[in-house]
Amino acid sequence: MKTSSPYPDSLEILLSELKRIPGLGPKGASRIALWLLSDPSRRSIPLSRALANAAEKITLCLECGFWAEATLCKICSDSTRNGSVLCVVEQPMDVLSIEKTGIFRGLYHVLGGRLSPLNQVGPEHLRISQLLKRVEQLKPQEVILALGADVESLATMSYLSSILKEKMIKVSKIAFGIPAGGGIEHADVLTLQNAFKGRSLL
Amino acid sequence: MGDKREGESFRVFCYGGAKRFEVRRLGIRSFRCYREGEFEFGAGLNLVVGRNGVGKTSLLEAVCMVLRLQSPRSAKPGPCVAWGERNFCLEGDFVEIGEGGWERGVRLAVENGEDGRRLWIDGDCVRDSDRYLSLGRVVWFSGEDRELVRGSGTMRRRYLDFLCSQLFPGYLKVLRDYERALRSRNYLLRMGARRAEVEAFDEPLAGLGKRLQECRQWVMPKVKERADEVVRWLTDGVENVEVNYLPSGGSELLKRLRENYEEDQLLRMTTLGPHRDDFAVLINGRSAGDYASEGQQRTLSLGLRFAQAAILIEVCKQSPILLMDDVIAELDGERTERVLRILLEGSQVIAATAREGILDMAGKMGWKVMRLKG
Repeated sequence: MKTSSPYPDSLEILLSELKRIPGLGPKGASRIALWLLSDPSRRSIPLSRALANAAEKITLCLECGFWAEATLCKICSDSTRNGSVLCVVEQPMDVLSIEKTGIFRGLYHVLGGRLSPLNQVGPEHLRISQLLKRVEQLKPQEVILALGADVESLATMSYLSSILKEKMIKVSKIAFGIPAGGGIEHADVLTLQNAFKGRSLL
Repeated sequence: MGDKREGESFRVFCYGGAKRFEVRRLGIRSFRCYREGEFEFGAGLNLVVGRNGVGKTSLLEAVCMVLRLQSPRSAKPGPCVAWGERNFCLEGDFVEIGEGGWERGVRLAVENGEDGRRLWIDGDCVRDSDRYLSLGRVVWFSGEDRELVRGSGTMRRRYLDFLCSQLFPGYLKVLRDYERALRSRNYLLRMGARRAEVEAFDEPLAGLGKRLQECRQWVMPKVKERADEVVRWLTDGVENVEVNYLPSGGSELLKRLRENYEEDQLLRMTTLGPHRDDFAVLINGRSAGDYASEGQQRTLSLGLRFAQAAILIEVCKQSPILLMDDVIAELDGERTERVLRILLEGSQVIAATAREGILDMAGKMGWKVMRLKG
Protein backbone atom coordinates (compact mmCIF):
# COMPACT_ATOMS: atom_id res chain seq x y z
CA MET A 1 0.00 0.00 0.00
CA LYS A 2 1.36 3.41 -0.95
CA THR A 3 1.34 5.92 1.86
CA SER A 4 1.88 9.64 1.45
CA SER A 5 5.45 10.82 2.03
CA PRO A 6 6.31 11.90 5.56
CA TYR A 7 8.74 14.54 4.18
CA PRO A 8 7.83 18.26 4.14
CA ASP A 9 6.84 19.50 0.70
CA SER A 10 9.95 21.66 0.21
CA LEU A 11 12.15 18.62 0.84
CA GLU A 12 10.12 16.57 -1.63
CA ILE A 13 10.69 19.27 -4.26
CA LEU A 14 14.43 19.31 -3.53
CA LEU A 15 14.61 15.52 -3.82
CA SER A 16 12.77 15.42 -7.10
CA GLU A 17 15.10 18.12 -8.54
CA LEU A 18 18.19 16.24 -7.33
CA LYS A 19 16.94 13.00 -8.86
CA ARG A 20 17.01 14.64 -12.31
CA ILE A 21 20.80 14.89 -12.13
CA PRO A 22 22.30 12.22 -14.39
CA GLY A 23 23.71 9.30 -12.40
CA LEU A 24 21.81 10.17 -9.23
CA GLY A 25 19.14 7.77 -7.99
CA PRO A 26 16.68 8.11 -5.10
CA LYS A 27 19.22 6.98 -2.51
CA GLY A 28 21.96 9.30 -3.71
CA ALA A 29 19.49 12.19 -3.86
CA SER A 30 18.42 11.57 -0.25
CA ARG A 31 22.03 11.41 0.89
CA ILE A 32 22.88 14.73 -0.75
CA ALA A 33 19.71 16.39 0.54
CA LEU A 34 20.51 15.24 4.06
CA TRP A 35 24.04 16.60 3.81
CA LEU A 36 22.85 19.94 2.42
CA LEU A 37 20.21 20.41 5.09
CA SER A 38 22.33 19.40 8.06
CA ASP A 39 23.88 22.89 8.10
CA PRO A 40 21.96 25.11 5.63
CA SER A 41 23.93 28.32 6.08
CA ARG A 42 27.29 26.72 5.29
CA ARG A 43 26.22 24.31 2.57
CA SER A 44 22.97 24.83 0.76
CA ILE A 45 22.93 28.61 0.66
CA PRO A 46 26.33 29.15 -1.01
CA LEU A 47 25.56 26.24 -3.35
CA SER A 48 22.18 27.66 -4.37
CA ARG A 49 23.82 31.06 -4.95
CA ALA A 50 26.52 29.47 -7.08
CA LEU A 51 23.93 27.56 -9.09
CA ALA A 52 21.79 30.64 -9.71
CA ASN A 53 24.86 32.69 -10.57
CA ALA A 54 26.18 30.16 -13.02
CA ALA A 55 22.80 29.65 -14.64
CA GLU A 56 22.46 33.41 -15.08
CA LYS A 57 25.95 34.25 -16.28
CA ILE A 58 27.24 31.29 -18.25
CA THR A 59 26.49 31.23 -21.93
CA LEU A 60 28.24 29.75 -24.92
CA CYS A 61 31.11 31.67 -26.50
CA LEU A 62 29.89 33.36 -29.66
CA GLU A 63 33.03 32.29 -31.49
CA CYS A 64 33.79 28.73 -30.45
CA GLY A 65 30.78 27.49 -28.46
CA PHE A 66 32.72 26.80 -25.27
CA TRP A 67 31.39 28.03 -21.92
CA ALA A 68 31.84 31.76 -21.41
CA GLU A 69 30.73 34.59 -19.14
CA ALA A 70 31.19 37.31 -21.73
CA THR A 71 30.59 37.17 -25.46
CA LEU A 72 33.96 35.44 -25.81
CA CYS A 73 35.33 32.58 -23.69
CA LYS A 74 38.70 32.78 -21.94
CA ILE A 75 40.43 30.84 -24.70
CA CYS A 76 39.08 32.93 -27.58
CA SER A 77 39.97 36.17 -25.81
CA ASP A 78 43.52 34.97 -25.00
CA SER A 79 45.81 36.78 -27.46
CA THR A 80 48.62 34.25 -26.99
CA ARG A 81 46.60 31.47 -28.60
CA ASN A 82 47.53 30.50 -32.12
CA GLY A 83 44.67 31.39 -34.45
CA SER A 84 46.10 29.47 -37.39
CA VAL A 85 45.12 26.06 -35.99
CA LEU A 86 41.53 25.15 -35.20
CA CYS A 87 40.54 22.09 -33.22
CA VAL A 88 36.98 20.79 -33.67
CA VAL A 89 35.41 18.87 -30.76
CA GLU A 90 31.93 17.55 -29.97
CA GLN A 91 31.31 18.86 -26.44
CA PRO A 92 32.59 21.66 -24.15
CA MET A 93 33.93 18.93 -21.84
CA ASP A 94 36.24 17.79 -24.65
CA VAL A 95 37.91 21.23 -24.57
CA LEU A 96 38.73 20.70 -20.89
CA SER A 97 40.23 17.28 -21.62
CA ILE A 98 42.48 18.64 -24.36
CA GLU A 99 43.41 21.74 -22.35
CA LYS A 100 44.58 19.49 -19.54
CA THR A 101 47.12 17.92 -21.88
CA GLY A 102 48.69 21.33 -22.64
CA ILE A 103 49.66 20.06 -26.08
CA PHE A 104 47.38 22.32 -28.06
CA ARG A 105 47.74 26.12 -28.15
CA GLY A 106 45.37 26.93 -31.00
CA LEU A 107 41.66 27.74 -30.92
CA TYR A 108 38.71 25.40 -30.49
CA HIS A 109 35.38 24.95 -32.13
CA VAL A 110 32.67 23.09 -30.23
CA LEU A 111 30.04 21.43 -32.45
CA GLY A 112 27.60 20.77 -29.63
CA GLY A 113 27.10 17.13 -30.67
CA ARG A 114 27.58 14.92 -33.69
CA LEU A 115 25.57 13.82 -36.68
CA SER A 116 23.11 11.22 -35.50
CA PRO A 117 20.22 10.66 -37.88
CA LEU A 118 18.73 7.97 -35.63
CA ASN A 119 18.41 10.62 -32.90
CA GLN A 120 17.25 13.29 -35.35
CA VAL A 121 20.49 15.28 -35.16
CA GLY A 122 21.45 16.74 -38.55
CA PRO A 123 24.09 19.31 -39.59
CA GLU A 124 21.64 22.14 -38.92
CA HIS A 125 21.55 21.17 -35.22
CA LEU A 126 25.32 21.51 -34.87
CA ARG A 127 27.48 24.61 -34.98
CA ILE A 128 28.71 23.81 -38.47
CA SER A 129 27.70 27.01 -40.26
CA GLN A 130 29.53 28.95 -37.52
CA LEU A 131 32.58 26.76 -38.14
CA LEU A 132 32.54 27.58 -41.84
CA LYS A 133 32.20 31.30 -41.08
CA ARG A 134 35.16 31.14 -38.71
CA VAL A 135 37.23 29.25 -41.21
CA GLU A 136 36.54 31.99 -43.78
CA GLN A 137 37.61 34.67 -41.32
CA LEU A 138 40.59 32.97 -39.63
CA LYS A 139 41.87 31.16 -42.73
CA PRO A 140 43.60 28.54 -40.51
CA GLN A 141 46.50 26.51 -41.87
CA GLU A 142 45.01 23.38 -40.39
CA VAL A 143 41.75 22.13 -38.90
CA ILE A 144 42.16 19.22 -36.50
CA LEU A 145 39.15 16.99 -36.00
CA ALA A 146 39.24 15.62 -32.44
CA LEU A 147 36.05 13.57 -32.39
CA GLY A 148 35.26 10.15 -30.96
CA ALA A 149 35.74 6.81 -32.67
CA ASP A 150 32.17 5.51 -32.95
CA VAL A 151 30.05 5.39 -36.08
CA GLU A 152 28.38 8.78 -35.66
CA SER A 153 31.61 10.59 -34.82
CA LEU A 154 33.32 9.02 -37.83
CA ALA A 155 30.43 10.12 -40.04
CA THR A 156 30.66 13.65 -38.62
CA MET A 157 34.39 13.74 -39.37
CA SER A 158 33.75 12.49 -42.89
CA TYR A 159 31.10 15.18 -43.41
CA LEU A 160 33.28 17.98 -42.04
CA SER A 161 36.38 16.92 -43.93
CA SER A 162 34.54 16.89 -47.25
CA ILE A 163 33.09 20.38 -46.80
CA LEU A 164 36.36 21.78 -45.44
CA LYS A 165 38.41 20.26 -48.24
CA GLU A 166 36.10 21.96 -50.73
CA LYS A 167 37.34 25.22 -49.21
CA MET A 168 40.94 24.04 -49.72
CA ILE A 169 41.60 23.75 -45.99
CA LYS A 170 44.10 21.23 -44.67
CA VAL A 171 42.13 18.78 -42.46
CA SER A 172 43.56 16.19 -40.08
CA LYS A 173 42.10 13.86 -37.48
CA ILE A 174 43.58 12.69 -34.23
CA ALA A 175 45.04 9.16 -34.12
CA PHE A 176 43.24 6.26 -32.49
CA GLY A 177 45.31 3.78 -30.54
CA ILE A 178 46.17 2.15 -27.27
CA PRO A 179 46.18 4.24 -24.08
CA ALA A 180 49.60 5.50 -23.05
CA GLY A 181 51.09 3.99 -19.95
CA GLY A 182 48.80 0.98 -20.29
CA GLY A 183 50.26 -2.21 -21.68
CA ILE A 184 48.90 -3.87 -24.78
CA GLU A 185 47.08 -6.38 -22.57
CA HIS A 186 44.67 -3.68 -21.37
CA ALA A 187 43.54 -2.59 -24.83
CA ASP A 188 40.32 -4.10 -26.15
CA VAL A 189 40.35 -6.00 -29.43
CA LEU A 190 39.00 -3.23 -31.66
CA THR A 191 41.33 -0.58 -30.26
CA LEU A 192 44.28 -2.86 -30.83
CA GLN A 193 43.11 -3.66 -34.35
CA ASN A 194 42.81 0.09 -35.07
CA ALA A 195 46.23 0.69 -33.57
CA PHE A 196 47.71 -1.91 -35.92
CA LYS A 197 45.98 -0.41 -38.93
CA GLY A 198 47.21 3.05 -37.97
CA ARG A 199 50.79 1.95 -37.27
CA SER A 200 53.60 4.25 -38.42
CA LEU A 201 57.09 3.67 -39.75
CA LEU A 202 60.00 4.37 -37.45
CA MET B 1 39.83 -37.28 -50.82
CA GLY B 2 38.47 -40.59 -52.16
CA ASP B 3 40.77 -42.76 -50.07
CA LYS B 4 39.72 -40.94 -46.94
CA ARG B 5 36.06 -41.76 -47.62
CA GLU B 6 36.46 -45.46 -48.19
CA GLY B 7 38.35 -46.38 -45.08
CA GLU B 8 36.66 -46.71 -41.73
CA SER B 9 39.24 -44.30 -40.41
CA PHE B 10 37.83 -41.25 -42.16
CA ARG B 11 37.10 -38.51 -39.67
CA VAL B 12 35.32 -35.29 -40.45
CA PHE B 13 37.01 -33.44 -37.62
CA CYS B 14 40.78 -33.25 -37.41
CA TYR B 15 41.33 -32.86 -33.71
CA GLY B 16 45.15 -32.86 -33.96
CA GLY B 17 45.98 -31.13 -30.68
CA ALA B 18 42.55 -29.56 -30.25
CA LYS B 19 41.06 -29.38 -26.78
CA ARG B 20 37.57 -30.63 -26.01
CA PHE B 21 35.13 -28.23 -24.49
CA GLU B 22 32.05 -29.45 -22.63
CA VAL B 23 29.27 -28.20 -20.44
CA ARG B 24 28.79 -30.19 -17.24
CA ARG B 25 26.07 -28.26 -15.45
CA LEU B 26 23.68 -25.44 -16.28
CA GLY B 27 21.64 -23.37 -13.86
CA ILE B 28 18.72 -21.46 -15.33
CA ARG B 29 16.59 -18.73 -13.83
CA SER B 30 13.75 -16.80 -15.50
CA PHE B 31 14.74 -17.90 -18.98
CA ARG B 32 11.93 -18.53 -21.51
CA CYS B 33 9.64 -21.16 -19.94
CA TYR B 34 12.03 -21.86 -17.03
CA ARG B 35 11.51 -20.22 -13.65
CA GLU B 36 14.32 -22.16 -12.06
CA GLY B 37 16.18 -25.19 -13.34
CA GLU B 38 19.34 -27.20 -12.90
CA PHE B 39 20.70 -29.58 -15.55
CA GLU B 40 23.63 -31.98 -15.65
CA PHE B 41 25.18 -33.10 -18.91
CA GLY B 42 27.25 -36.12 -19.87
CA ALA B 43 30.61 -35.99 -21.60
CA GLY B 44 29.58 -37.35 -24.99
CA LEU B 45 26.09 -37.55 -26.41
CA ASN B 46 23.14 -36.12 -24.54
CA LEU B 47 19.58 -36.62 -25.70
CA VAL B 48 16.85 -34.31 -24.41
CA VAL B 49 13.41 -35.88 -24.88
CA GLY B 50 10.01 -34.41 -24.17
CA ARG B 51 6.79 -33.42 -25.86
CA ASN B 52 6.46 -30.16 -27.76
CA GLY B 53 6.45 -26.98 -25.73
CA VAL B 54 8.16 -28.53 -22.72
CA GLY B 55 11.32 -26.41 -23.11
CA LYS B 56 13.77 -28.54 -25.10
CA THR B 57 14.75 -25.83 -27.53
CA SER B 58 14.96 -23.29 -24.69
CA LEU B 59 17.43 -25.54 -22.87
CA LEU B 60 19.65 -25.72 -25.95
CA GLU B 61 19.23 -22.00 -26.42
CA ALA B 62 20.33 -21.40 -22.82
CA VAL B 63 23.59 -23.30 -23.45
CA CYS B 64 24.16 -21.20 -26.56
CA MET B 65 23.32 -17.98 -24.71
CA VAL B 66 25.57 -18.54 -21.71
CA LEU B 67 28.52 -19.26 -24.01
CA ARG B 68 27.97 -16.89 -26.92
CA LEU B 69 25.69 -14.22 -25.36
CA GLN B 70 23.39 -14.50 -28.33
CA SER B 71 20.52 -16.66 -29.34
CA PRO B 72 19.87 -18.25 -32.71
CA ARG B 73 16.18 -17.59 -32.06
CA SER B 74 16.12 -13.87 -31.35
CA ALA B 75 18.38 -10.90 -31.89
CA LYS B 76 17.50 -9.18 -28.61
CA PRO B 77 17.58 -10.53 -25.03
CA GLY B 78 14.03 -9.36 -24.30
CA PRO B 79 12.11 -12.37 -25.62
CA CYS B 80 14.39 -14.72 -23.64
CA VAL B 81 13.26 -13.31 -20.31
CA ALA B 82 10.51 -15.38 -18.70
CA TRP B 83 7.07 -13.78 -18.74
CA GLY B 84 6.64 -11.32 -15.88
CA GLU B 85 10.37 -11.17 -14.99
CA ARG B 86 12.89 -8.38 -15.61
CA ASN B 87 16.08 -10.36 -16.25
CA PHE B 88 17.19 -13.89 -16.92
CA CYS B 89 20.19 -15.48 -15.29
CA LEU B 90 22.26 -18.40 -16.59
CA GLU B 91 25.22 -20.06 -14.96
CA GLY B 92 27.20 -22.86 -16.57
CA ASP B 93 30.06 -25.05 -15.40
CA PHE B 94 32.31 -25.87 -18.32
CA VAL B 95 35.40 -27.94 -18.66
CA GLU B 96 38.21 -27.87 -21.18
CA ILE B 97 39.99 -31.17 -21.68
CA GLY B 98 43.47 -31.29 -23.18
CA GLU B 99 45.11 -34.12 -25.09
CA GLY B 100 46.96 -35.49 -22.11
CA GLY B 101 43.66 -35.72 -20.27
CA TRP B 102 44.18 -32.62 -18.13
CA GLU B 103 41.02 -30.73 -17.26
CA ARG B 104 40.39 -27.08 -16.58
CA GLY B 105 37.04 -25.93 -15.30
CA VAL B 106 35.49 -22.52 -15.83
CA ARG B 107 32.22 -21.10 -14.55
CA LEU B 108 30.44 -18.60 -16.78
CA ALA B 109 27.41 -16.61 -15.76
CA VAL B 110 25.29 -14.01 -17.49
CA GLU B 111 22.40 -11.90 -16.36
CA ASN B 112 20.53 -9.96 -19.01
CA GLY B 113 17.28 -8.12 -19.56
CA GLU B 114 15.79 -4.78 -18.62
CA ASP B 115 18.62 -3.89 -16.22
CA GLY B 116 21.31 -4.44 -18.86
CA ARG B 117 23.85 -7.22 -19.18
CA ARG B 118 26.30 -8.44 -16.58
CA LEU B 119 28.93 -11.16 -17.01
CA TRP B 120 30.98 -13.25 -14.62
CA ILE B 121 33.95 -15.53 -15.21
CA ASP B 122 34.63 -17.79 -12.22
CA GLY B 123 32.67 -15.42 -10.01
CA ASP B 124 34.53 -12.27 -11.13
CA CYS B 125 32.37 -9.64 -12.77
CA VAL B 126 33.87 -8.74 -16.16
CA ARG B 127 33.04 -5.60 -18.10
CA ASP B 128 34.36 -6.45 -21.53
CA SER B 129 32.96 -9.45 -23.35
CA ASP B 130 36.14 -10.19 -25.36
CA ARG B 131 37.64 -12.62 -22.88
CA TYR B 132 34.28 -14.12 -21.98
CA LEU B 133 33.56 -14.94 -25.62
CA SER B 134 37.01 -16.42 -26.17
CA LEU B 135 36.33 -19.34 -23.84
CA GLY B 136 33.91 -21.68 -25.60
CA ARG B 137 32.08 -22.21 -28.88
CA VAL B 138 28.93 -23.84 -30.22
CA VAL B 139 27.35 -24.98 -33.48
CA TRP B 140 23.58 -24.76 -33.70
CA PHE B 141 21.82 -27.36 -35.86
CA SER B 142 18.12 -26.74 -36.39
CA GLY B 143 15.28 -28.71 -37.94
CA GLU B 144 14.79 -25.69 -40.17
CA ASP B 145 18.32 -25.74 -41.55
CA ARG B 146 17.07 -26.62 -45.02
CA GLU B 147 16.40 -22.90 -45.28
CA LEU B 148 20.17 -22.46 -45.43
CA VAL B 149 20.02 -24.00 -48.87
CA ARG B 150 16.66 -22.95 -50.25
CA GLY B 151 15.78 -19.87 -48.14
CA SER B 152 16.74 -16.21 -48.46
CA GLY B 153 20.23 -14.77 -48.06
CA THR B 154 19.35 -13.67 -44.53
CA MET B 155 19.76 -17.27 -43.33
CA ARG B 156 23.16 -17.63 -44.99
CA ARG B 157 24.42 -14.30 -43.65
CA ARG B 158 23.34 -15.35 -40.17
CA TYR B 159 25.25 -18.60 -40.70
CA LEU B 160 28.37 -16.64 -41.67
CA ASP B 161 28.02 -14.14 -38.83
CA PHE B 162 27.54 -16.87 -36.23
CA LEU B 163 30.66 -18.63 -37.46
CA CYS B 164 32.80 -15.49 -37.87
CA SER B 165 31.82 -14.10 -34.47
CA GLN B 166 33.29 -17.24 -32.92
CA LEU B 167 36.44 -17.19 -35.06
CA PHE B 168 37.34 -13.51 -34.97
CA PRO B 169 37.42 -11.51 -31.73
CA GLY B 170 35.69 -8.19 -32.25
CA TYR B 171 33.64 -9.37 -35.26
CA LEU B 172 30.35 -8.94 -33.43
CA LYS B 173 31.17 -5.38 -32.35
CA VAL B 174 32.12 -4.44 -35.90
CA LEU B 175 28.87 -5.99 -37.13
CA ARG B 176 26.79 -3.99 -34.61
CA ASP B 177 28.57 -0.77 -35.62
CA TYR B 178 28.07 -1.59 -39.28
CA GLU B 179 24.36 -2.11 -38.68
CA ARG B 180 24.12 1.24 -36.93
CA ALA B 181 25.88 3.02 -39.79
CA LEU B 182 23.56 1.24 -42.23
CA ARG B 183 20.42 2.20 -40.30
CA SER B 184 21.62 5.82 -40.21
CA ARG B 185 22.33 5.94 -43.92
CA ASN B 186 19.03 4.27 -44.80
CA TYR B 187 17.15 6.67 -42.54
CA LEU B 188 18.72 9.64 -44.33
CA LEU B 189 17.88 8.13 -47.73
CA ARG B 190 14.30 7.54 -46.62
CA MET B 191 13.97 11.11 -45.37
CA GLY B 192 15.41 12.48 -48.61
CA ALA B 193 18.39 14.14 -46.89
CA ARG B 194 21.04 16.01 -48.85
CA ARG B 195 23.65 13.92 -50.63
CA ALA B 196 26.53 15.17 -48.46
CA GLU B 197 24.70 14.02 -45.33
CA VAL B 198 24.05 10.57 -46.74
CA GLU B 199 27.62 10.26 -47.97
CA ALA B 200 28.98 11.15 -44.54
CA PHE B 201 28.12 7.57 -43.60
CA ASP B 202 29.85 6.04 -46.63
CA GLU B 203 33.29 5.97 -45.02
CA PRO B 204 32.25 4.34 -41.72
CA LEU B 205 30.03 1.95 -43.66
CA ALA B 206 32.76 0.97 -46.12
CA GLY B 207 35.45 0.76 -43.44
CA LEU B 208 33.40 -1.50 -41.19
CA GLY B 209 31.98 -3.40 -44.16
CA LYS B 210 35.44 -4.15 -45.46
CA ARG B 211 36.41 -5.69 -42.13
CA LEU B 212 33.34 -7.93 -42.17
CA GLN B 213 33.94 -8.97 -45.74
CA GLU B 214 37.60 -9.73 -45.12
CA CYS B 215 36.56 -12.18 -42.40
CA ARG B 216 33.91 -13.77 -44.58
CA GLN B 217 36.29 -13.92 -47.52
CA TRP B 218 38.79 -15.77 -45.37
CA VAL B 219 36.33 -18.31 -44.06
CA MET B 220 34.34 -19.12 -47.21
CA PRO B 221 36.95 -21.32 -48.96
CA LYS B 222 37.15 -23.34 -45.76
CA VAL B 223 33.38 -23.72 -45.66
CA LYS B 224 33.46 -24.87 -49.27
CA GLU B 225 36.18 -27.43 -48.65
CA ARG B 226 34.73 -28.80 -45.42
CA ALA B 227 31.09 -28.90 -46.54
CA ASP B 228 32.13 -30.81 -49.63
CA GLU B 229 34.08 -33.32 -47.54
CA VAL B 230 31.15 -33.91 -45.20
CA VAL B 231 28.58 -34.24 -47.97
CA ARG B 232 30.76 -36.71 -49.89
CA TRP B 233 31.06 -38.77 -46.72
CA LEU B 234 27.33 -38.64 -45.97
CA THR B 235 26.36 -39.63 -49.52
CA ASP B 236 29.15 -42.12 -50.10
CA GLY B 237 30.74 -39.84 -52.65
CA VAL B 238 27.64 -39.51 -54.83
CA GLU B 239 27.13 -35.78 -54.35
CA ASN B 240 29.58 -32.97 -54.41
CA VAL B 241 29.06 -29.47 -53.14
CA GLU B 242 30.35 -26.10 -54.13
CA VAL B 243 29.90 -23.02 -52.02
CA ASN B 244 30.78 -19.67 -53.56
CA TYR B 245 30.95 -16.39 -51.69
CA LEU B 246 29.15 -13.49 -53.36
CA PRO B 247 30.35 -10.30 -51.63
CA SER B 248 28.13 -7.32 -52.34
CA GLY B 249 29.97 -4.22 -53.48
CA GLY B 250 33.19 -6.07 -54.20
CA SER B 251 36.64 -5.01 -53.15
CA GLU B 252 36.05 -1.28 -53.59
CA LEU B 253 32.98 -0.80 -51.48
CA LEU B 254 33.54 2.93 -50.84
CA LYS B 255 33.88 3.69 -54.54
CA ARG B 256 30.90 1.53 -55.43
CA LEU B 257 28.75 3.21 -52.76
CA ARG B 258 29.52 6.60 -54.31
CA GLU B 259 28.83 5.34 -57.83
CA ASN B 260 25.61 3.72 -56.73
CA TYR B 261 24.23 6.80 -54.98
CA GLU B 262 21.52 7.57 -57.55
CA GLU B 263 20.10 4.08 -57.35
CA ASP B 264 20.17 4.11 -53.54
CA GLN B 265 18.40 7.45 -53.59
CA LEU B 266 15.74 6.10 -55.92
CA LEU B 267 15.16 2.99 -53.84
CA ARG B 268 15.63 4.93 -50.59
CA MET B 269 17.99 2.33 -49.14
CA THR B 270 21.59 1.19 -49.30
CA THR B 271 21.78 -1.52 -51.93
CA LEU B 272 25.44 -2.51 -51.57
CA GLY B 273 27.48 -3.87 -48.69
CA PRO B 274 27.88 -6.91 -46.44
CA HIS B 275 24.19 -6.79 -45.52
CA ARG B 276 23.55 -7.92 -49.09
CA ASP B 277 26.27 -10.59 -49.14
CA ASP B 278 25.30 -14.14 -49.96
CA PHE B 279 26.84 -17.42 -50.96
CA ALA B 280 25.70 -19.79 -53.67
CA VAL B 281 25.28 -23.45 -52.78
CA LEU B 282 25.69 -25.77 -55.77
CA ILE B 283 25.16 -29.50 -55.84
CA ASN B 284 26.83 -31.36 -58.69
CA GLY B 285 27.26 -27.99 -60.38
CA ARG B 286 23.62 -26.84 -60.15
CA SER B 287 21.90 -24.44 -57.76
CA ALA B 288 20.86 -26.52 -54.78
CA GLY B 289 18.01 -24.21 -53.80
CA ASP B 290 16.37 -24.73 -57.19
CA TYR B 291 17.35 -28.23 -58.23
CA ALA B 292 18.14 -30.35 -55.17
CA SER B 293 15.57 -32.70 -53.67
CA GLU B 294 14.38 -32.24 -50.11
CA GLY B 295 16.68 -35.05 -48.96
CA GLN B 296 19.65 -33.53 -50.76
CA GLN B 297 18.91 -30.14 -49.22
CA ARG B 298 18.89 -31.68 -45.76
CA THR B 299 22.21 -33.38 -46.45
CA LEU B 300 23.68 -30.10 -47.69
CA SER B 301 22.53 -28.21 -44.63
CA LEU B 302 24.10 -30.88 -42.41
CA GLY B 303 27.26 -30.47 -44.46
CA LEU B 304 27.26 -26.72 -43.85
CA ARG B 305 26.74 -27.18 -40.09
CA PHE B 306 29.41 -29.83 -39.68
CA ALA B 307 31.70 -27.59 -41.73
CA GLN B 308 31.22 -24.90 -39.06
CA ALA B 309 32.29 -27.39 -36.40
CA ALA B 310 35.30 -28.58 -38.41
CA ILE B 311 36.48 -25.01 -39.02
CA LEU B 312 36.11 -24.06 -35.35
CA ILE B 313 38.17 -27.09 -34.36
CA GLU B 314 40.82 -26.36 -36.96
CA VAL B 315 41.18 -22.65 -36.25
CA CYS B 316 40.44 -22.38 -32.52
CA LYS B 317 42.02 -25.72 -31.60
CA GLN B 318 38.97 -26.47 -29.48
CA SER B 319 35.86 -28.55 -30.16
CA PRO B 320 32.55 -26.70 -30.10
CA ILE B 321 29.46 -28.04 -28.33
CA LEU B 322 27.02 -29.30 -30.96
CA LEU B 323 23.46 -28.25 -30.20
CA MET B 324 21.00 -30.17 -32.36
CA ASP B 325 17.35 -29.14 -32.23
CA ASP B 326 14.99 -31.62 -33.96
CA VAL B 327 17.76 -32.97 -36.16
CA ILE B 328 18.88 -36.43 -35.07
CA ALA B 329 15.59 -38.34 -34.79
CA GLU B 330 14.43 -36.66 -37.98
CA LEU B 331 17.19 -38.11 -40.16
CA ASP B 332 16.33 -40.89 -42.57
CA GLY B 333 17.87 -44.33 -42.13
CA GLU B 334 20.81 -44.19 -44.44
CA ARG B 335 22.28 -40.92 -43.22
CA THR B 336 21.58 -41.55 -39.56
CA GLU B 337 24.36 -44.05 -39.19
CA ARG B 338 26.87 -41.78 -40.89
CA VAL B 339 25.84 -38.72 -38.92
CA LEU B 340 26.12 -40.68 -35.69
CA ARG B 341 29.61 -41.75 -36.62
CA ILE B 342 30.60 -38.10 -36.99
CA LEU B 343 29.02 -37.37 -33.61
CA LEU B 344 31.05 -40.14 -31.99
CA GLU B 345 34.25 -38.41 -33.01
CA GLY B 346 34.40 -36.54 -29.79
CA SER B 347 32.53 -33.23 -29.63
CA GLN B 348 29.93 -33.00 -26.92
CA VAL B 349 26.44 -33.18 -28.39
CA ILE B 350 23.18 -32.02 -26.87
CA ALA B 351 20.33 -33.14 -29.09
CA ALA B 352 16.64 -32.48 -28.53
CA THR B 353 13.70 -34.34 -30.00
CA ALA B 354 10.02 -35.05 -29.42
CA ARG B 355 10.27 -38.44 -31.13
CA GLU B 356 10.53 -41.22 -28.61
CA GLY B 357 11.40 -43.75 -31.33
CA ILE B 358 15.08 -42.93 -31.03
CA LEU B 359 15.26 -43.87 -27.34
CA ASP B 360 16.04 -47.55 -27.95
CA MET B 361 19.01 -46.73 -30.08
CA ALA B 362 20.16 -44.00 -27.72
CA GLY B 363 20.09 -46.47 -24.86
CA LYS B 364 22.16 -49.00 -26.78
CA MET B 365 24.70 -46.34 -27.72
CA GLY B 366 25.11 -45.20 -24.15
CA TRP B 367 23.68 -41.71 -24.65
CA LYS B 368 22.70 -39.79 -21.58
CA VAL B 369 18.94 -39.36 -21.85
CA MET B 370 17.25 -36.41 -20.17
CA ARG B 371 13.48 -36.45 -19.99
CA LEU B 372 11.80 -33.08 -19.71
CA LYS B 373 8.33 -32.88 -18.23
CA GLY B 374 6.11 -29.79 -18.18
